[in-house]
Amino acid sequence: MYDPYAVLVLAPVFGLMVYAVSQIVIIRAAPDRSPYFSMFVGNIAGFLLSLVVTIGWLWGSELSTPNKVALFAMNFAIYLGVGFCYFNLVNIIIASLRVRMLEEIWLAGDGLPARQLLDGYNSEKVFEVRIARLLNGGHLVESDGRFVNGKKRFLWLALFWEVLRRVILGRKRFAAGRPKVPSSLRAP
Amino acid sequence: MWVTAVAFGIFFAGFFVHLLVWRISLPTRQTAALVVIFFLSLVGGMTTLFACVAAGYATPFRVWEYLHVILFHLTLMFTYLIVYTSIEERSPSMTLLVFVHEAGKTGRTREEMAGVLTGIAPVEIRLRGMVRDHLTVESDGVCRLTSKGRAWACVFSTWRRFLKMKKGG
Repeated sequence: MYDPYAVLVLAPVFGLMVYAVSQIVIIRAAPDRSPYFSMFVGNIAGFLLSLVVTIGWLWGSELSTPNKVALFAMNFAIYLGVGFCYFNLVNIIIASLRVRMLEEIWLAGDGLPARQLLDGYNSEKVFEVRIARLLNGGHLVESDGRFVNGKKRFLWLALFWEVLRRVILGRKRFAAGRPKVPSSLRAP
Repeated sequence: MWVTAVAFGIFFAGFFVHLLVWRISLPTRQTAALVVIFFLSLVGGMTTLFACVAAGYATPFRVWEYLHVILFHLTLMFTYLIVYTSIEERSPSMTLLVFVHEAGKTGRTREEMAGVLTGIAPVEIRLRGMVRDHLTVESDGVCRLTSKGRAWACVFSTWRRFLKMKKGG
């Protein structure tokens, strides 16, 4: 028997479907454009659909206001979650070294010498790719041979991650795992 | 309201157990441990809910209300698993941004940043992680994929080509 509550439950799922389809259509139509553009547009489209369906359902229901707010919060959290998961499903192709290495070994057929992987993806090359990506995105700015922060969005996310790491790992493990400037480069 | 409270309660119970276990002893396979903890939290929470309903302490949920709780839990679980991968192994890009931020207006030199990144993201760590997770095996200096590794590589490669994206990393 049909239960109208199903529409509320499925609102974020519909939103995710719109996100995915929009993102795929845009990225396949414009492969030379940054993939983050397709993810941004897709996410907005999916979010709007999820929002409209959720608010529309709640508006027409006879639930109390606190109940409506609680269910709205629940659906909002679900859409943020599925949107984040989908974002990472695409971003893993862009940013994951491990996925890149898996694909390279697979395409090689009969394995790859470990030395070739270590040389091909050595820390210097990884560093240069990362720096280029951060500079191109405006997250870092180079001035007189020194790097300073540019756009703050990614930085705020990174700082939030540091807080999360501190809470989850605890003070000692967090401190032990913090990256340090090599002693040869530290100021006297 | 009750649906939302149950959903948040089950997830945060699992999160609390996760923090407790991590304080006692860090598991070797952290992602697998998280999956077990959150799965058990869902099973335990739903079982408790059924018991409360059967005993008359709670009004019965409709099927779609149970599904709403499960959808919420699974979504947050997968979201947290993704977040946790960058807690377990530091994201090189985020590490660089925070490192530069800590220097304030003076900024950092290229050498300082390269030095910091070498410490946390050498390829050796990635390779060891892939062996530990049974994605690859290494013998006679050659890295080969396991059947699990081949499956994942096929999925990601197909997905990348479907999206018409270049290789990343």
